Amino acid sequence: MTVKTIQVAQNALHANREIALQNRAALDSAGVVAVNLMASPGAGKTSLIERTVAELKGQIRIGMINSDTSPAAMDAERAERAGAVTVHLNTTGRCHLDAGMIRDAFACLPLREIDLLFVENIGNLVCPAAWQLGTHLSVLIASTPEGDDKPYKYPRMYGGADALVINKIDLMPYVTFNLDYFRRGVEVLNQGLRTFPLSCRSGAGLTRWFDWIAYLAVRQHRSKD
Amino acid sequence: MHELGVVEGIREIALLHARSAGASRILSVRVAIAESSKYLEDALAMFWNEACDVSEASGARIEFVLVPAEWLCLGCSKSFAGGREVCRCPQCGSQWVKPVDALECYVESIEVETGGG
Repeated sequence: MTVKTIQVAQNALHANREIALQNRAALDSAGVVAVNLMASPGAGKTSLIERTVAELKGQIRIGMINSDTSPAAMDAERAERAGAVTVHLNTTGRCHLDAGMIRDAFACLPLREIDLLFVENIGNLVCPAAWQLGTHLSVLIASTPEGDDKPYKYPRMYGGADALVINKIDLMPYVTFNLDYFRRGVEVLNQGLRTFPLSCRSGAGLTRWFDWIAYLAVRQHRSKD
Repeated sequence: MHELGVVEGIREIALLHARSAGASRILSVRVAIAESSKYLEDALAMFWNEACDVSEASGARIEFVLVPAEWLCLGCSKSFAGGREVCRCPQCGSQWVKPVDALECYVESIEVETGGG
């Protein structure tokens, strides 16, 4: 019997990254563009998906991987009623999705019959930022009632986003939200970040979001052909 | 429950390297954590036994070494050294600081037992 020391020097999330790369390859092969939607609880992730599916139904085929820390699948049911193909992931208390969960969810989705896949992450502005899933884009949703200080408090999340939605702009007259202060915080962390101020409730600003997300799906589909 | 996912990642790396070396058992795993990271040794250790209960890593010790932290002030763009409890930039006093955490938690080495004798 011999005891020996092996030098490793490998990131703890290495295995997750490897699976994320496999996920990305599976998406590209199927011609699907995937969006990791992250936000705090109640910011409007499901509402944005619901509105997007309802608007783009008939133009692009949309799937959704929904996640919650419990079996409660009402968010997936909302998206399904709007016209999406959905799968619900119960993370059994885990505070984020990881690449292995997404790989498992792929087995339950007809990827080749989908153009755009929304992955609704757990409502949390900390942990999801650290876990690659293999999606193409990370979209962060902020909402005005949360307050304008979030970029200052969650720099990693805001620094890593590929696009930012500011939801519930119709509530700005009633809540304390200084848009200039918020934008200054974002700009330092993520210069030139594509931003969509909108309201899922009133519909204000949604058209620009629909156009952009539909363009992404069509571009990905064409790149596969 | 963030830590369970991290220790599962640590376990997978340890198992991969142990199997490549033909090891029969992992005795210990040494993990480096940046002082600025959000990972806490106690929390990781708590989930370690649970994550390793059905593998060659069963019973393995987990040991931690803390790596000095580097922080960046987003107010004045200066970087500075600090520990876990940093909340203000020492240069300008701004509270808007973030850790520079490219490698915040990694497996440094593993100690294994091989059956060859």
